[in-house]
Amino acid sequence: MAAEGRAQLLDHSEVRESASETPEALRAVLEDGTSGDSEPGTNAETQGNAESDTGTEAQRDAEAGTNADAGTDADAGTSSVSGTGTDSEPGASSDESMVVPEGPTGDAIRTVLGLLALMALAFLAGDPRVKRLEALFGVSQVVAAGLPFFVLGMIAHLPAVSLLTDEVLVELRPLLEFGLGWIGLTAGLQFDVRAADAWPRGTTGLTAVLTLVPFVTVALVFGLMLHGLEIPATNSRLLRDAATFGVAGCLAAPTASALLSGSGLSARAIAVIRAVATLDDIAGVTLLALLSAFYRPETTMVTWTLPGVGWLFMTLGLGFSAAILTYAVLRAATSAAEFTALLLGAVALAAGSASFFSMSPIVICFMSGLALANLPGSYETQLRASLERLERPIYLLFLLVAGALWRFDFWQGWLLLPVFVVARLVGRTAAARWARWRGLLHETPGEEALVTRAFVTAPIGALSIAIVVNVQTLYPGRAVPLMVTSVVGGALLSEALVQLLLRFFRPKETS
Amino acid sequence: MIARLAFLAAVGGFMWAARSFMPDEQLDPSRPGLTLALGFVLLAAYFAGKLVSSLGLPKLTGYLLAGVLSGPAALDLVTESMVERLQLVNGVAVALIALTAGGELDLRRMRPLVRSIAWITLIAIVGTMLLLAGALLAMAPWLPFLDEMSVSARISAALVLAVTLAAQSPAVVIAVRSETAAEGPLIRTILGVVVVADLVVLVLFAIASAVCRAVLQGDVDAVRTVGTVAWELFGSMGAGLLVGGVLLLYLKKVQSSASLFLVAICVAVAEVGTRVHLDPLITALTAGVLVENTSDRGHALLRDIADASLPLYLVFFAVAGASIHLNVLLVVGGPAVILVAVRASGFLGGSRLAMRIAGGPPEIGKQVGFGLLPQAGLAIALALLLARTFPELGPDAAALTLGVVAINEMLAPVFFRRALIRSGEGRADAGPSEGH
Repeated sequence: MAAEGRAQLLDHSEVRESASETPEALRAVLEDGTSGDSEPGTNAETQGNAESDTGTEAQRDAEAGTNADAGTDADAGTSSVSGTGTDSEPGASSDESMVVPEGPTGDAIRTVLGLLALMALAFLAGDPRVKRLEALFGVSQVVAAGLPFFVLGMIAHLPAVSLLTDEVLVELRPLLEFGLGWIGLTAGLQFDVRAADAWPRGTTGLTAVLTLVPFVTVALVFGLMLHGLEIPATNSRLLRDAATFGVAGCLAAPTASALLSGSGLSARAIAVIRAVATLDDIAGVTLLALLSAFYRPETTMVTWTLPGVGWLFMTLGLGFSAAILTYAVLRAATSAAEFTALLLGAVALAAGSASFFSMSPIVICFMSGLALANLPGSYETQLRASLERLERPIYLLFLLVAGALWRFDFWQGWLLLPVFVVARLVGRTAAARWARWRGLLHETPGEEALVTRAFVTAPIGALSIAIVVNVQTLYPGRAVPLMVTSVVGGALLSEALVQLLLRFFRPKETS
Repeated sequence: MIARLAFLAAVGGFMWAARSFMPDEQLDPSRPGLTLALGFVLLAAYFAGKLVSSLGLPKLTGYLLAGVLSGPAALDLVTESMVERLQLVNGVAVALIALTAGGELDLRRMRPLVRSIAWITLIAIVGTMLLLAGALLAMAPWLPFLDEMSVSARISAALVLAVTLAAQSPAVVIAVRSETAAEGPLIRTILGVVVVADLVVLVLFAIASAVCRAVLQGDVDAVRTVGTVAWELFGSMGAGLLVGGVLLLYLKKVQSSASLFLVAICVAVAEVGTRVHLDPLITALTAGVLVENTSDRGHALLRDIADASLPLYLVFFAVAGASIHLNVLLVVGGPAVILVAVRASGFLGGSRLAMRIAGGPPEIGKQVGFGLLPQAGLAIALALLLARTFPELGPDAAALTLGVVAINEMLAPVFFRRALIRSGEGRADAGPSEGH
């Protein structure tokens, strides 16, 4: 049941193919297997393919001549669902499939009440008093502050709790899409070209090094790990999954510099760190755009056959159109209430259209954010007020849903977690040292050691989590759930590490 | 005006372009592009509202028109399945609107109007129901679903249909009041009447349908019917007191993010209420009345609702518009127009008479009937319930009621807005912060 609903949440082409709208039919079709993903460039996402999508991974893996399935899944404790004999989604344990739903009314009421309790928590988390408390304990970062919601989502999805059941998650899919779009928008808003003029010279080169080296390191390590674990069955999927890990690993939280404000660094050095953190978001979103263009989900309903570069142009075209539309409609608002309504509408339209084409809502809305940040307009105050009011609850609700999608029961994910953190740390250390050696830190004379340390210890940001969740909705394969465990766990670990390092080093540095 | 048209065209063009890549038959029924539809509906309704507002019409007519034009009956940009899935917003919007209505009901200020409200309810509302039943019986030879029945069955069916057709719309009243920033005895009387009439319609519908079921299906359980009605009325009020208490506590103790909290409360009222057969409208209304009349937080409540309401209003009315089946009007257009005229005459004439009996100001009596004309969610819900409960009446009966609702939904807000402005209580140029 759980696996079925999750597959339904993540992709639905089998449903369409069954030409039936009944839940029974949905279940029957979904029990046959889950969706897979295509080789780059093939993009054979035709309707007719949907039939072959049932039980796809097993079938295709077998065709690929690899022996990934049975052994791996059995090891992972992910036995087939309902004895269909097909390869199930990982983690679809028999325990979950045995959960018998209660009556629809009681279930629905429980769900709504549970959601409300969680929403109330999200609202309370936005209360200034709670924020002050977080600051007091040094968990003011959005990742750490949001983590309880991620965990709550996970708990709410447990069969014993059954608040966020798979059926409810299907209904909440728009919230996930909207949340991803919102995160993309806020990331895009960070990048103001006018502020870039004030950035220290060489920031772009420094960012390129600090992004690319960790990207390559993490991707390489994970490529080898995944290959060793025989998780993705084909080379193209291996490449895609490794690249996704790389993207998630190469980004740093834009708030990293805020953590360092009391660490003895000069304002100039903090400006460099902040600029790099802002620029690497662009690099991350660009890599995500490339991934979603060149690795199309095979089960997408868009019937076009285009090469990867064609989809890249489609992404750019859609993003550009959505950005212009968002910019134009927001200028029409004449009051705060109208502005909020239009902002919600514009983000929903952009994120919805991205999902409609199986593209990334983060990428499309990121372009809208870029347009809003850089095109002239007098809406800045209203935009800030709307963001301030809505950002946190939307983000926390997004984490709640993301948490419910998390497959924490994969031991491979937990195994990969420390590897991810270490690989990222190694990549960032190598990048920062190389940048220092090449003289790229010339704008912070006398502080190179501190700046290097700051780059190395920069925590993982919300965008990384959003990217892996987005990838999970695009490619419901076997490796992606592992990424969520690794990246979310890594985000927490990296932030804890930063806090520890700061507490450890601060007295020494400031003295 | 040209700029608004251009915006509308841009949003429509964007949606059309997106939809053109994926025709209806390829749309996944379980994932019908809901986020896309939600965004489109929000933006299209907003600009359509602005556009018709510049023509001197209520904005909500624009919201409805946006829904009608983009819905399955016209351009099909928003498909049937998208409309169906967006209905979730409707429940929340109705609860939020009822909360607003309750928050507007200051019982101390309403006290002088009680006599007028009571007489209007009795004469205009109940009188119009009887008038509509008479009209239906008179038109029976042209309405095959009535003509083929026995006399007793025909009378009982006519009564149920008449109660359904007499339903009003507190949602439209609140929306137009908000748009025109109306304040005064007329709008307070209208608000009082539509709230009371809502309860009366619910009770009478339950009674009339029980009678009708007994006549048509030979199946009636009086005790069960009374129990159901009592649960729906008093249970909803009890739940409303509970919700009101929670709201009061939140407004006093927490305060921050109150508009989001209100939306969350409305989700609970709409979703849980419907499933346990409580009326979300009565529940939210009672909660609003409690907050307004037992504390000084009523204004804060209304202010927070105003913050959260615009997106919900836009979606609610646009979805209501998209639910209008224009093809129905082609089939039942004639009888529907006659019933709309009878209904309007009943409300306008009945209100004047009631006001005269109650000794209220005659100028209010002249205008108050216009506030009773609009129909929306409740009438549609009752029409659908009617079709479900009495399959014997056939699809024609449902089509007729939906046809009447469609006409009233589109035209009545225009007359109501004009009445408010003519009375001097509403303003045509109410600023954006005051109205939607």
